[in-house]
Amino acid sequence: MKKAIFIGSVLMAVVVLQAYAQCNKTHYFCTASLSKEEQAEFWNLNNQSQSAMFAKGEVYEMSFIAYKGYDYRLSVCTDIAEGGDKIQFEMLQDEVVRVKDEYGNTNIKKTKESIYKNAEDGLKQSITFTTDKTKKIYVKVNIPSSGTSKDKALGKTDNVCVGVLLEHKEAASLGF
Amino acid sequence: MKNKNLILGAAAAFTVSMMVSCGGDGQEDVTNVVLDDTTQTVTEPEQPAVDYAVPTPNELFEIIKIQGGEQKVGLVNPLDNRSKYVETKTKAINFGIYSADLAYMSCFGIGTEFLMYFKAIEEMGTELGIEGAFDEELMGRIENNEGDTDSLFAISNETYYDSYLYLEENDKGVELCLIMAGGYIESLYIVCNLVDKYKEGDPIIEKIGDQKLVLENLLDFILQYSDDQSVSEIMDDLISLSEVFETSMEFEESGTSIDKGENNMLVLSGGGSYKMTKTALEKITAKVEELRANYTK
Repeated sequence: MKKAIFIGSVLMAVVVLQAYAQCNKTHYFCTASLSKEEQAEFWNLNNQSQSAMFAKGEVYEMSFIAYKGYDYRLSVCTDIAEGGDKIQFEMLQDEVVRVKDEYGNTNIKKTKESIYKNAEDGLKQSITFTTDKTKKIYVKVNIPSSGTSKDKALGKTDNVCVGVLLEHKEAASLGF
Repeated sequence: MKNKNLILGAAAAFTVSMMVSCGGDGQEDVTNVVLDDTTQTVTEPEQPAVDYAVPTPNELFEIIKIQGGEQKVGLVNPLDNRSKYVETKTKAINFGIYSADLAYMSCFGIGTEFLMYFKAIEEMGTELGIEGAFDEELMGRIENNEGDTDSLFAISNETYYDSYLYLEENDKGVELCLIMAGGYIESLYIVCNLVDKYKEGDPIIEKIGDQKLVLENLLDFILQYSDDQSVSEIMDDLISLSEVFETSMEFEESGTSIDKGENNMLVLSGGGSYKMTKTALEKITAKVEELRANYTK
């Protein structure tokens, strides 16, 4: 009996690891939610794109560097089968300012400033942006709490695959 | 990770405060980096589950080229050095260095040595146990595209990314950290050496300054593997480099604005940032040359 449980556990672990490996490419499928016109646009895959296995209802957060000189398109997706809720996501940036502390010393203070919430923009699953300075950007993705992963290995768990696809191209207005 | 932060804090508290600043979770997190030496505030980090991504060498070279960068010969690590890299640590770092060299050569049309460098990387990958990252058909594709720098650039980009995914999937985080660090140092070394002299507003010099942010994300990524001695050692090197960025660049305050442009494109403007100066360029170049010399010797 113990042996059966052990073998079962090992098999389960292998299945979950395989699912995790598959999750690593979820971002490749994020263009599916784009319109035909958007899909036809030329963008380069940016290797800062990320995919991960995450529990439903949790918030996945990633950070990437957006260079001045590129335009970016950011898309989010999960592998939740059709019928699940749309994903809510938020983009933030570091707001860096100089402040004086109580001792009169000059400090650099960093806070995160929200720059986009798709909840306020019709729950669009992608956004294009450009920046006049190279910036560190954060993306927070609210994983829907309902729905089931298309991945058979994850189907019976609370986990799903989430992807953040980043694409770039030379900025139309290079140099601003 | 928290312990590691505290240890590092004792050794280089100033720099750690910068790293901690990247690890905050939520919009209310604040870290103060004191400019004057009298006082210092370090906020104890929370432990967010943040994935920190780092641009590849290809992405950097591509934008450098777009912004007018021109190739220079003699910047890549000679293949003759390869036999010196026996230990896993030096092998992984130099795998990253040669990968960045490959990206540079293909981006700037130095195609003649591409195949030899690619073969070296493939062999080093096998020795590091990451041969699975290399597609069996890749070598054929390279031979068929010799001279087509666009294709070679795409292949070098693919190889770097496939190696990244393979290492992540196969629990080889330590090797991944060393490779990424090697790639970062080599890219910065090459770009610094593409600049002949300081000129205010030079977009390539700006890109060198931008590597401060890239380094922050790299350090945050590496931090999760810092229990490993090799990673911890290279992290110390990167921290010393980040200290040079932090202390030599000038902070410039500016308000931020977020607008909608053509086709609903979000336009992010302004924001406080660090600016390159002549001194910063000299100091960053000197530091990266020192680190690069140590890794490639």
